[in-house]
Amino acid sequence: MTESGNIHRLVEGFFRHESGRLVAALTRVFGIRNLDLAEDVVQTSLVEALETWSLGGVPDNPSGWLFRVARNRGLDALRREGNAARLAPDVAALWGDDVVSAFDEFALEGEIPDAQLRMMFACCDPDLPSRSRVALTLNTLCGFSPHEISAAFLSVDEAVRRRLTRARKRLRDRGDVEVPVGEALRPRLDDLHQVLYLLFNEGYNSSHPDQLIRKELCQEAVRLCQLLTQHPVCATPASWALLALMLLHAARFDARVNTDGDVVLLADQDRRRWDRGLIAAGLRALERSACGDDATPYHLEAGIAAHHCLSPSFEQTDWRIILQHYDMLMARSPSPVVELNRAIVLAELRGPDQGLRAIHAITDVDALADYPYLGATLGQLHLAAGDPERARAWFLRAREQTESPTQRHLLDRKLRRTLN
Amino acid sequence: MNDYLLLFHGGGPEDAGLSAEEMQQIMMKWSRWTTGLRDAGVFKGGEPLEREARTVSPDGSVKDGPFAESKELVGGYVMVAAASMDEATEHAKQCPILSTGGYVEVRPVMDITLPPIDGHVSPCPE
Repeated sequence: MTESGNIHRLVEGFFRHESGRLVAALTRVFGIRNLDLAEDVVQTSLVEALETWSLGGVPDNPSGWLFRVARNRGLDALRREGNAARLAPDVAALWGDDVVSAFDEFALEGEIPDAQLRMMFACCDPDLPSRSRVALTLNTLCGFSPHEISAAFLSVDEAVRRRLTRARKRLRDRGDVEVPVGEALRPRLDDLHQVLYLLFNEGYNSSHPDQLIRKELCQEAVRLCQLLTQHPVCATPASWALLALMLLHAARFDARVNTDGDVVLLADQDRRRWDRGLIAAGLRALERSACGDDATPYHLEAGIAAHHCLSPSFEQTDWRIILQHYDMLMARSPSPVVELNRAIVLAELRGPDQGLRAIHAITDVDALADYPYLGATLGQLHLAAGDPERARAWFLRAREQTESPTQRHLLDRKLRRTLN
Repeated sequence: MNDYLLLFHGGGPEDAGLSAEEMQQIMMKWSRWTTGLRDAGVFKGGEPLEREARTVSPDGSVKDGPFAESKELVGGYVMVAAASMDEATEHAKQCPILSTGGYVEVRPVMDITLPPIDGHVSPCPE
């Protein structure tokens, strides 16, 4: 028996990452209408790994082990379900009844990274409602749980679950659907951007209680976005802008958390710890994104991130330009979260009262009712405006709403300041 | 010190609809548990069991099964050294299977060495 302590060798998010890759590889063989079959096979394979590795220890090549099990279970499923009838149309055309060859041809390990991106495009089927496309892709190919998706959408778990069930059923009932290639990718690119944006965001602001940053999710999002920027059809200005946005945020990772695991706010970050290499790469990507006449939200957000990265200190931040970016964001894709962030910038520029006024003017403030950053911001602004009583009430409310110990810790620090 | 067999019944992840993330969390729990037993020097081995089973009956017939209910199924075992049944039970109480709906059966392994003779000191071998 091998040393089972070596389970700790498995990187954070290993199962999640592998499940996305495997679902992509199997769906390539089965066709998108058999997405549920692919997911079943992958789930079975993960369960097998869990049962075997828990006591037996992790094998030397865990990825290869999982892939092999998934391949065998996939073949079992094909044999059970009547071979070619279950294959993707183009795969069946090539291989007919020879499912073993079909499998090895299309699901070989080396092809997987690319396959994952292709399957993301396939999941973003225009026949589904926009939110369902993004939710389905996050769930099946990025390994998001319904809870993580509902956190990203400011929605509730049950609604997300229902949405996912309906989307799967619709794909199943549709019959043959080709995996899009070439120009057919273009209309789906917006969805892909949204998926990668949310993937990165979940890594940057984890909805999981114990982790503030989950780098592996951010790295995955960056990797996939880089693939987009290398693709002749997908290398649009928006793809470059999204990549710039991710890199410029990633540059600040290490400065965002102190040695105790507590979050460090932008104002207090040690800017010497920002990653110069990533900032440079982000700025290069931003430059590449600057063509065409469409300033997408990704351009604007990347622009904001770039201004922060280039400012020598918090005090020297050019809030005027950042406010302009938020104004353009509001014109282009208004949302209560953008409005909240804009109010914070207004407060920096014209004082806390102006910020508070802007928050009270938020059109759809109800959408933020369960959003802890609303309470945290209101607390901060009331405190700055010399009203510790109100500040306290808002900090307490935010503290109740967040599941994250690091966020609670931060709010506790702020609560103490309301007492001085 | 005596050996105790901890048998894990049920608690398998197959029907729980767990996410990949949750499965990895469970695996980490198992790893922490067995590492703890190893570090304490009481771990004497353990393995997961396949679900496949056959039964040989007195009349010589061989059947597949029993297909025990998944909540009864023995999914694996761990052997620990402990000073008493109570001590072995304490180890069992930490087993991660309990958090996934399974249970642990604790069985002392019978000691088959010759019992010492009371009041008599065994002579040293020549």
